[in-house]
Amino acid sequence: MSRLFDSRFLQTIQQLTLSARFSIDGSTAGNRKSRSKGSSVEFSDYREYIPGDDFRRIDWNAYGRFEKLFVKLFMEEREAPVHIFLDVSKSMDWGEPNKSIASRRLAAALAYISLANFDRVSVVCIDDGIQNMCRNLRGKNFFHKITDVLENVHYTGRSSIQKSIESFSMQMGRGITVIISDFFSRENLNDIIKYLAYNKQSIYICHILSPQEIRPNMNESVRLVDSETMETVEITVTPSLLNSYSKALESFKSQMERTCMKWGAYYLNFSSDMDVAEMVKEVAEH
Amino acid sequence: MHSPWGLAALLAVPLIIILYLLKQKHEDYIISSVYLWQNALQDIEANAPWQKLKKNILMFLQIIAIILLALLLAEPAIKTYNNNSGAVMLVIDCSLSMQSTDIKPNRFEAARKDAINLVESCNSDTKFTLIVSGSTPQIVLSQTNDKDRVIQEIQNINVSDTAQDIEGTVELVNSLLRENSSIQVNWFGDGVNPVSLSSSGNISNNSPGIDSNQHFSGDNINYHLYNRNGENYAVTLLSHRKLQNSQEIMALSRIANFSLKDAELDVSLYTDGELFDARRVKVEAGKSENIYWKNIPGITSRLECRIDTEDILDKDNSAGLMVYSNKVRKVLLASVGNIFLEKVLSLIPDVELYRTGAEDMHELKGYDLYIFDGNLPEQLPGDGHIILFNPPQNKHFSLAGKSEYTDIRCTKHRLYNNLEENISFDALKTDLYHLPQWGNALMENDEGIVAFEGYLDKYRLIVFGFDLHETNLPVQPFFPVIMTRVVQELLPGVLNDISAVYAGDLISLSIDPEAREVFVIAPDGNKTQIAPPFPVDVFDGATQIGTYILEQKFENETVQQSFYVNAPSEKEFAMPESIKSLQQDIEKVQEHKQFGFWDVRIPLLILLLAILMIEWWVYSNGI
Repeated sequence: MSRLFDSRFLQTIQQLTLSARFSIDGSTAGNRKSRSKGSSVEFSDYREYIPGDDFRRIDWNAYGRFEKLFVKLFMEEREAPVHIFLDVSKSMDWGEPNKSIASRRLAAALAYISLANFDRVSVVCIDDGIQNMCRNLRGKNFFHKITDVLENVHYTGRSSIQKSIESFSMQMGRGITVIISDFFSRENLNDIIKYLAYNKQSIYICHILSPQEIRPNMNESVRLVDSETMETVEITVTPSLLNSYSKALESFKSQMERTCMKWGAYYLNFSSDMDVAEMVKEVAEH
Repeated sequence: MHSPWGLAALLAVPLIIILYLLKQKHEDYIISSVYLWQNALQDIEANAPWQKLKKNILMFLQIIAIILLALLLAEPAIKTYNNNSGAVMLVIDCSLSMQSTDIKPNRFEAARKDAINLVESCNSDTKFTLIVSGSTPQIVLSQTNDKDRVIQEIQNINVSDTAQDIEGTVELVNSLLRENSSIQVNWFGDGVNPVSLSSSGNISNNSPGIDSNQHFSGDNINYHLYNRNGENYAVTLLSHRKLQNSQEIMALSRIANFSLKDAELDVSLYTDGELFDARRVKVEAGKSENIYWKNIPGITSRLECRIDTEDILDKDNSAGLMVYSNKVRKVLLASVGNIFLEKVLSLIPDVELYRTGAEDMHELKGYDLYIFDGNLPEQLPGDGHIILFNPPQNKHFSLAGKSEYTDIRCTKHRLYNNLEENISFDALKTDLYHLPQWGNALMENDEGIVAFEGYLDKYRLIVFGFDLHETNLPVQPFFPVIMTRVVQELLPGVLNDISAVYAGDLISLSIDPEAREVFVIAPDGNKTQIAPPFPVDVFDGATQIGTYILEQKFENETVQQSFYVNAPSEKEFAMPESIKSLQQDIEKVQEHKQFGFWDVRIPLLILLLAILMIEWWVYSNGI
């Protein structure tokens, strides 16, 4: 096992499977099971017969005992397609701890939890297109495929999330989409979420930043160079500039959060120095 | 600013700014995205170089530190004047020593400038009293709030050649302070601080010769000292004597060193304007040396002694005197025989003594001076001054009584100037007199006036109530001195005590009784009429150093006589040792605030250190 996904990491995510689950419609205690009751092998409950019900679901044994018609209810079992889009553009390979490590661990953890719940999991590494992916995996046995993909990404390109997602042929029907990125791509997040919502996805926006991006610690006059675009900005760091930066960051995050709320998506804000368990827990709580 | 050149350090300020501008060369720093930074920079204009400098706290701290350093080097001072009382008294010393040039352009001009600055800095409702302290203190302005007028009057003050009457000035200031103790006194001078803090915290008078119970009460007195202890040398005395039976003159000059260092001085003697002799003399600090000049030709009419070594005050470097012609004065002694008087009169040069008995005192005429010993003619002579010893009762003054076995004291009269104080002698018996309106007491005992002098019409009269034979006065060492002065006082046309005439002194001129008009022409050419009215008492206009001319107009002729008025250096500069040490203490204290300013170097230094510490903290914390 590599350094990125060591045994300790695996232990952590195995424990997480017991407590953390996604639900398709995003209701509070839904987990993978749907609230819509239907034909399934797993018994759920009884209720009195009302005209129009399927006669075949009447429990005649109960009728013999209570002389009343009851209908058996079963859990409808659905395969939840889980799409995890991981930004592997150049900007994600920055910070201390590096955002690339934290983001891949988060992706791996979410993928593992989904595999453990027999969801169909697709992990897609995107920059200005789809760089690498593995799709429609079911069962924990395929987890190694996912780690292989995650361990072999290259942080070189510029990010274009919308273009990449649109180029991914998403499976029809309800599903879960997780996007893990720093969202410095200057794309319109509204368009991305709108597209996913149209495809009936429960959307999790995992916004991950490094501590140095949250609280810059430069104290000199420097020329800042954008790792993706090579754009430059000359600054002399002063308290007022840092204050202004802090305001710009807050504005950036609140704008994203407002967009997410508008479309029923979940906005999750992470720092790359957070433990993966904390991050997963936050995702699961939504 | 005591050292304005220190401000040159401000040139470092643009240097720092340039260094910071050069330092603005940025290093590249790769970050994930500049997106947020671009948004942040939209809020603040931080791109222009100057704007970047504006935000650089280190640079500004360094600039402040440089400015403080420059100020420190410039020795700044802040006016500490704080007039709470609303009343300010300015006392400005305008005596000779204020012409010293150890402070440029001279002490007086510096004091004048500071005084004007002080007036300008006062509130418009401040009431000013202006006192000029020269040979006599004068209140020029009293309780006026017209600042322009005060400044005008200060500008009109002329520095004089006279010595300062510090005692009189202190008395005057004290009397004004007694009327209004809240007046803030600002004393601009160069001598001994008349006010210094005593141990009790009160301000007491420490001037030489001033009664110790004179106090400036309160702490509202600022002394502005203008004295940097420059080197000053002076000729404090020049006198001469014609040697008996010789056509030679011997002169004595006294050279004083008023500086704090020993000095070797070149001294020259000029006779009638020509160099006669030159000497080199060593004079210890604070001491004086006598130089005797011998073999001076008897025909010399004018002597001048001059110090050729440069110092801070040129005016007192020379002294002169006139050698009066050998005009023989005729003195008639009417006595039955008085060996003491005869002997004394024979010692006085240029005096021709005639004797007569009491029986030959009719129609006395033709003498310059009449001395009646134990007798008095019915009709006083009409052409000369008169000295009376033990006169009989007469119509000119009245007897008050008699006294026996008595101790007779000399009064404070200028006749006894420079003699020891409290001169007294014993008398077997003496007459006592009612002092006439025209008289001034010369001697007294416990019961009354024993001797007096004054003008009786145009003639000077000196009366002694005792017979010399019945006193021990003739055996006293001061007898010949007193008698010589008495005779010289009365001989017409001769200045009394000619060797000791200093600027500002009251001069006793012995005017010829026959003179119709008398004038004095000052060195600057100003001519002052001093008579009529007769009698002429004392001349108080000798305020300049140089040659004065006494002009007496008779019926058919005009006679001019010159006399020198010398610099009153001894009185102006010499101080007792105790006062010197006091002055040094004052100078130490006021070394940097002698102009009445508060020295702000210490606060500036503290501020500078604080700035450096802040800079260090900012630098180490990377703010």
